[in-house]
Formats: sequence, C-alpha cells, structure tokens
Amino acid sequence: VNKKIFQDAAEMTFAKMLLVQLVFVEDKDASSNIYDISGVIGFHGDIVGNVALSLSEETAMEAISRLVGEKITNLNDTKDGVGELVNMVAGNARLGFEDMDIRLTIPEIIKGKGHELDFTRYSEYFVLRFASEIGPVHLKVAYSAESIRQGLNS
Amino acid sequence: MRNILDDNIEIKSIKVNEIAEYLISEDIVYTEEEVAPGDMRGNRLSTDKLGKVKNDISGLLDGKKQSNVLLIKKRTKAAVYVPELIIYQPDDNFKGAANHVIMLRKSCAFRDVPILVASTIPQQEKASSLISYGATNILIFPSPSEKVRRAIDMAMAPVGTNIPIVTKLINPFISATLDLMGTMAGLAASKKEVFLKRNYRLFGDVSGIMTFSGNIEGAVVVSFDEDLARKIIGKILGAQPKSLSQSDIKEGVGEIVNIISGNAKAALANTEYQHQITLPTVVTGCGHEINHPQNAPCIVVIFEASQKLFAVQVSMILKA
Repeated sequence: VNKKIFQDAAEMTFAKMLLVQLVFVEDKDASSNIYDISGVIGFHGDIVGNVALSLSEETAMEAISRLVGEKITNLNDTKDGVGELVNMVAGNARLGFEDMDIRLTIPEIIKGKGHELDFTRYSEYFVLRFASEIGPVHLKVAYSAESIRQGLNS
Repeated sequence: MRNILDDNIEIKSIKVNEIAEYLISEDIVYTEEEVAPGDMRGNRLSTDKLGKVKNDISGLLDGKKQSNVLLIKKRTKAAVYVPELIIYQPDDNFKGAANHVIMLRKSCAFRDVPILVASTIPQQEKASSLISYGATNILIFPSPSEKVRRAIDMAMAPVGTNIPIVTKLINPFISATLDLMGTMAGLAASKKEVFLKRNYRLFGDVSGIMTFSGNIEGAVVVSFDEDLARKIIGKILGAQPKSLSQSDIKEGVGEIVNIISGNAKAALANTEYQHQITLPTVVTGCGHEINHPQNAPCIVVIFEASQKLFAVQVSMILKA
C-alpha cells in the first residue's frame, strides 16, 4: 500500500470536485486528530482495509457548499456529501492499484463534536494530513498485513 | 405553540422538573447507578427512587423555568413505551442548552427518538449548533402549521427502502452478540428490542464499526457508553474496569465488533447473504452518532447487560 496513491487520489478529488488545492503537510502531533465529521469506507479483495476522511464542522460545511453549489449552514446537510467525497477518494485510489481486485463497501458517516477515529491492532495505518484554504483535511488509511488478512478471510 | 399542531397528536407541555416523572412513568430506562436492578424490570420506580431521579434530572437541567420540553407521545408496539418525539425549547440565552440536549439524548438510551429544537429566526444559527450535540433538527417559530407539520413528519418517518426485518439475516448477529457476552465476558446479556431505524442515528461514547461487502453491502456497528464498555472489556481481560486505559477500550471494542461480524459472516456463508468483512474501526467521543447512506435500511437491536443498554445495528443493501 502506497501513501502516494492515496495522497494523489485526495488531491485530485478535491481539485476536480471542489476546486480546492490540498497541500500535504508533515505533522506528527497526535492531538490534532479530533474531528466533527468523518466518512469511513471499507475495501476488501486483494487488500483489506479502511479509508476515513475527517473534517471539522466549518471545513465540511464549506466543502459541501462548494460541491453542491449552494450555501450550507447545517452540519446535518453535509452527511451525504461527505460520504460522496470519501467514496470518490477511495474510488480514485482504487484506480491506482492496477491489476488488483479491490471492492469498496458503502460509506458510513460519523458525526459528533470532537470525536476520534482509531484503527485496531488488526491493521497498520497511516494518516495523511493536508492543509487547504477551507481548513485542514485528514485522510486515515488502515490496511491489514498479509498474515492477518489470511486469518480474517479464512 | 400548542394550537399550531394537528389535534390527532397528543402534545404535552412539560416544565423541566416534570421531565423525569414523564420519562420514568413512560418506562424510559434511566441508567443511573443507584437504580437497583429490580427497579429496571419493574413497572414503576418506588416513590423515593423517583424523587431522586427527578432531582438528578432537574439538577442536570439547571431547574430553569424558562426551559420547556414538549413531548408528543404515541404508544409503540414494543414492550417499552417511549416518547415518539421530543421538542426542546432552550431558554433565550441558550444557557446549558448543549448539556440539556446531551442529557435528553442519553435518556433515550439508543432509541432514535427525534429531538427537535424550537427556535426563533434570529436564534436559528445557535439552535443549529445543537444538532452536533444530538438534536435531530430545528423547528422555526413562528411559522405556518403546515410547515411545522412537515418538519415533524420528516423527523418521524423511517428512511430507506422499506424492507421487512429479515430474521434469517439479523439472527446470526444477535446470537453472535449474546454468545460473545456469555462466553467471553461472562455477562448475561438479553435482547430487549429490535426495530427499523428512523434517522440512522445511534449515539454512544465508543463504537466499533465493521464494514462488509459481497451479496449484502453495509456495516455492523456496536455502540456502548463508556461505563459499560469498561465493564465488559474488564471482564474479558480479567482486569479492574477502572485500571483500563483508553487504548485498552479501543482495542477491546474493535475486538468485540470483529468477533460479532466474524461469527455472523461464518453463519451466513453459503447463503444468499454471503459477504466479506474488512477491518474494524473504533470511534470515540462522547455522544457521537453514526449515519448510514440514505438508501440503506438499518436494523437496530438493543441489548441489556449488567443493567445497562448497548446497541448493535446492521445496515445493509441487498445486492441483486
């Protein structure tokens, strides 16, 4: 699993759909991993794992306003949009894995002031942090190591 | 506010210190430690217990007389009577409003009772912010009765394509949960309620999510409040609940959802509901909610263990 594939997928999705330039930032501060809304999508097949896109309330409302082209002032109205965004990011990332059979699940949306998202010991994961004009955008990718995957799929 | 609603809905306007009585008399389960086990199953709490609970809740709500909570009640088919709808009107300064909403949401104990916030136009923005804390939507007053009616209907209507509860599909998840609680945690868990979810909102302090795809596509989510999660994981690990760290809880909840979905997957293999599971994700944060895509019906099962409730929900799309 290559970080670059997911980084490109996120940058491409935001640039094409929202006209927002994402800038990748190196940031190891774990305390910044607190969000208001997240979309999680699972994938399985040759690789098993999860992709999660996490945003703050303001960023989500601004992003979805741009996506649908009308002003959104209610976090409730961003749910479908956030699900669609993570779907597009995961879909674009899938294109990066040539010759691999990867299937996506439907997105789940988690909403709650200051929630945290964690993956468990089944998975290895990395966090991609982006800065942008509409605020920080975080993408968490978890995937299983080969041996664990065999166990899960047996 | 009263006369703008249709007469066929019974509407009750209650002052803050009457909420407790209303909730308890309608058999809403109140999960305060002091409530003895017997009381949870009995029809009514004894008078002094009721007084205590009443004090607790009005204490939480600050005893402000300006705050009104209106409840519209209808009896459900389930054994437990719950209010169908809560309309909450914060006081003018929104003092403690967020806490009130959180408390109301908690007392609904995983049932998706819609909470509508009544507000005036200038306060619209402030009221919207309460949605993050557990309110379903806002009602703007004054507005034509038709509009209010529609907003209420929208909050009450089940979403998703209407499928009947497929027992063959949901039973493996239920038995996997009961199995896990019995064998690993040594806790007697019991199934309390099964219903089709209305708003796809499930509130807990810690949730485990497992997405799956195959012939059915969707997710299974297990939600606990923090106390119960600690208790169960403590039992599984053989440790004191208080000595568990945050990462123990996260690991444990991930493990629980992994076992439940793994067992259900095995039980459903070679049927028309065959599917593959992915990896568990754990969400923490007080009172977060989990949403599913609009078109996916969602079945919620509420369990009771150690006199507390927890919820398992399965949302899925059947693929042709």
